[in-house]
Amino acid sequence: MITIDKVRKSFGGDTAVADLSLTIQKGQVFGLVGTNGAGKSTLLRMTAGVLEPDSGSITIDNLPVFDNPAAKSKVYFISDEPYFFSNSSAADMLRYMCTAYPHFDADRFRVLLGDFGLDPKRPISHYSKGMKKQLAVICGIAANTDYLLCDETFDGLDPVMRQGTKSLFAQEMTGRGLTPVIASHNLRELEDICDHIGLLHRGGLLLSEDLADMKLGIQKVQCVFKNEREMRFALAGLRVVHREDRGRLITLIVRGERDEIIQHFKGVDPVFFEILPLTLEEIFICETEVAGYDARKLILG
Amino acid sequence: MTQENSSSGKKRPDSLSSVHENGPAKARTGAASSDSSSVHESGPVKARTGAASSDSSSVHESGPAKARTGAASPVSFWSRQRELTGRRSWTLALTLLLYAIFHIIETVLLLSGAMAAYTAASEKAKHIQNLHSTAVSILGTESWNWIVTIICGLLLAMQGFSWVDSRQRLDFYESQPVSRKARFIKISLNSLFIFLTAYITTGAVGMLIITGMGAMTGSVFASCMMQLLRSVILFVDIYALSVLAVMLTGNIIVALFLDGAMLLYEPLMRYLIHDFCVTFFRTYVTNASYGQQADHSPTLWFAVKAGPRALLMGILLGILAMALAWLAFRKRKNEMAGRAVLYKPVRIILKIAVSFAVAMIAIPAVYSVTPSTPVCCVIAALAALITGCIMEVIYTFDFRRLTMHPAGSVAAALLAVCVFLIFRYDAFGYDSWLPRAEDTVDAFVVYDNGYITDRYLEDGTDASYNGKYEETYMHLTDIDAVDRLLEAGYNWTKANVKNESGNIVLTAPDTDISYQLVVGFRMRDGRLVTRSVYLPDTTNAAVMDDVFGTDAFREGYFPIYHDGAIRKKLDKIRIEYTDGKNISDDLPAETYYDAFKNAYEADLKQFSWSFAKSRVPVGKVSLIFGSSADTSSSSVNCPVYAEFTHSIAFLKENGIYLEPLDDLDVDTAWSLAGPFSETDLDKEMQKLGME
Repeated sequence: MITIDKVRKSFGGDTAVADLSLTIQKGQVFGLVGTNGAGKSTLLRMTAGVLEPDSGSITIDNLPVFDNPAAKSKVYFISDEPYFFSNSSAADMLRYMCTAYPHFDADRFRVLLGDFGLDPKRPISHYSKGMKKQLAVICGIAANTDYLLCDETFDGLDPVMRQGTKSLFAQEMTGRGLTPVIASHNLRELEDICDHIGLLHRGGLLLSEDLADMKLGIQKVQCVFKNEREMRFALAGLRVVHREDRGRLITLIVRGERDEIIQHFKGVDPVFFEILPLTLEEIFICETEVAGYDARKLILG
Repeated sequence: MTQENSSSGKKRPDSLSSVHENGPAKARTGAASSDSSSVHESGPVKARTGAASSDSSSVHESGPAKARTGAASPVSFWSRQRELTGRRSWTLALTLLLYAIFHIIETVLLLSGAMAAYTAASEKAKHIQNLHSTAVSILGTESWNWIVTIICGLLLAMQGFSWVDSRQRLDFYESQPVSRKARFIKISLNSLFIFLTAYITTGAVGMLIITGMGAMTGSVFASCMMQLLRSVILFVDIYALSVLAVMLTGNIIVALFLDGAMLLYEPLMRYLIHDFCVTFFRTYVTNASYGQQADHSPTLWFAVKAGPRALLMGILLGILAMALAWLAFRKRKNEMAGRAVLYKPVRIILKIAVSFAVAMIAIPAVYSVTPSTPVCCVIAALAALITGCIMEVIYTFDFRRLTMHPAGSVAAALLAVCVFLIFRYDAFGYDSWLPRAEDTVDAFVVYDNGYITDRYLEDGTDASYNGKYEETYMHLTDIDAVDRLLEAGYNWTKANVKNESGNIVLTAPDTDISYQLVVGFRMRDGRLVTRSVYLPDTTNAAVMDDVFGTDAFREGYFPIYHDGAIRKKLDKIRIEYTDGKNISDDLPAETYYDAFKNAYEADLKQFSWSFAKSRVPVGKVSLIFGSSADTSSSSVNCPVYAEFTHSIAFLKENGIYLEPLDDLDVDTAWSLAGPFSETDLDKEMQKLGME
């Protein structure tokens, strides 16, 4: 488990992370989302032990992480701009990684390299940006750490590679209990992989919830009523978070379990109603509007 | 559809469960295969909510994600060092190349030249001496390989720790399970290994070449080992200071700048103070041989090749610098990468120091062109202010911040102007300083007026022209007498000597005769303080004789008293006598030296300033090193006055006395000149218009 407790980090006069507390359970896929400058990279870098918090603490399995090899051996950090030795090849990086990470799996590295179609002897400086990211992911997987911190790792990957990487993560999670922590400003990207989402804004944590819990307790309904009276009667019993009218078609986002909502609408006899899947983006917009933020600006930049 | 996630009790969304049902989607960039687990066929993982393939063979094909089991395989210290050296192979190659040039190529070239220098059988001793001294100049304590050592120290420090200035590399290294202490030690030890490998391998080859060419002896070997020790200390000093510079700054350019400032500031200040003394003081002794040596700056230390004390200082400096470098590394926050100078106190101190140094450099340069005090003050202030502005731009990489934080520049400007005025007006009384007897051990006076004789220290070192003989053997203990002499000199110097931007100019009329003296005081605190003054020949005789009439003066002035070098070569020395025109037969020193020395020392007891001023010697005994055919041989000359009865008796007894010439012309008198006697000769020559 990664425990982040009241962590604060400032650079000069600017506060990048402000008294943030967060827990990342082992075995879950944690998505860290926020706009540019929200503090995602700073938080990840502190969790990886690159930066020392000004106050608060970060522990990995109860071990403080900063300048602590025992804690750092449990985590691999893929930064947004992965570094490789100049004029080195993947084979050279393998040699180095074996000395740096105690459990580095050289065989797995070679296999993954082949699976991703990367030439181990080709200079990495000749790789494209996407290939470098792939190599960084391979290094991260082969390091055999408990936690994998990914800072905007999917950016720069083509859709096929993105899917491949997600599948790889899933494989690692099932096989050895890897816990990926993925930072991105793209909610849509995280939606199909993450169990738990944390939303950062201006260094603070707006939300931290399980995706399943989020989706269980909130539904999107499209409905049409015969008349105004029936509409009012139908909506009176609902906890409406968001409402959008397009002519007679009403789109609602309401709190409640799916079955509960279905039962309710069966009782009010609308002309038409349908429960639709909610995207993560829609959930966030609703939740953050409740919190008083204009989430469209946060999420859509 | 959802699945229970047994580990957390939460329900996992369909997306990941579909992955588990299908087996992993294997990444392929080529054509899709018919394998249902391929990425192209399965499409995005989320879409597969129903039709699950039970084919799990792809899992095995790509290799299962292995759970971490068992203990990690330990990586040895030497494996890490080998890996790191492999990554630093270009620095190793460059270091090897540089040392190979000095230790191997230079050895071959210089020794080959030395082998050809003295080929005659009669010159065998010179040939061997030449070979040995050449060997010492290549790999021994006279070697110039310290230049390479400094370059290597700088290079390995900058290259080894350049990663602390890069966010990208910091993310890479600092996220790894290696402690900062371990990384610091690993890099530093690796740098030392690279240096030692290059130095020792090339040095060993060089020593083999030296041995093969017959130039190796025990003392040459010892000299090489001493140079190795000094090189290691120098390397550690330079390396540690360079690492400290890297840790205090955020990019390599500024690190080099700070490193240069740390290494060169002290010798620069010494030079500037020397320059100021030369420019503004009348009594400053410009000959730097009197006890001056640089103990603190590693670069200057090696340049002047100081002794064991400097070696110890070097060790202490290395330990201190390494400790500071480690402390700076520990305290350094990774987010500081990219800033010019990380810490505010360092920024302030550096700005003031550099601005002050530039102003100090400007002052004597301007004064030599325009010896105007107000002009120099203005230029000094401007130099400091402009330098401060440039520093601000360097700190922030922003030209618009040129005028930020002016306090440092102003402080530097004020300091430079103060220092200038102190020197300009001799605010601390340099040109009138007199020591107290209780603070002084003893003193010496160097007076060189044309009494031409070679002087040697007991060990044979030539001390003819640099005051070393007096500095070594003269111990005047009546400090009050020396103070009176010096004070008389100050008074006359102040009135009759000008310092025109470093050129000492006598303003007294040409008819005034003066002596130039250097007076040295050995202080109880270990310092050696010297002053240069002019004394007129009209100085009170008592003041002069209280110094020049003492046994201490005679024993530290006349080379006959400390004759170790003479005694070592008695079999090669001839004693001859001249009256200024004629030269007697010579006597072998081996037989006659002791008798002459006893006679001469007995005569010298009457020597004083008053005695010598009014007399011209009647002849001169010369102790000549070498045969009569050797015109370049050195000689120790002993003026013989008419009153030197013991010496004259010796000369007569041994048949080499020549009667004094009746008609002593000025040229002949000059050739016989003894101490102080030329003042009358000068007057004579002036009368004859020969000056």
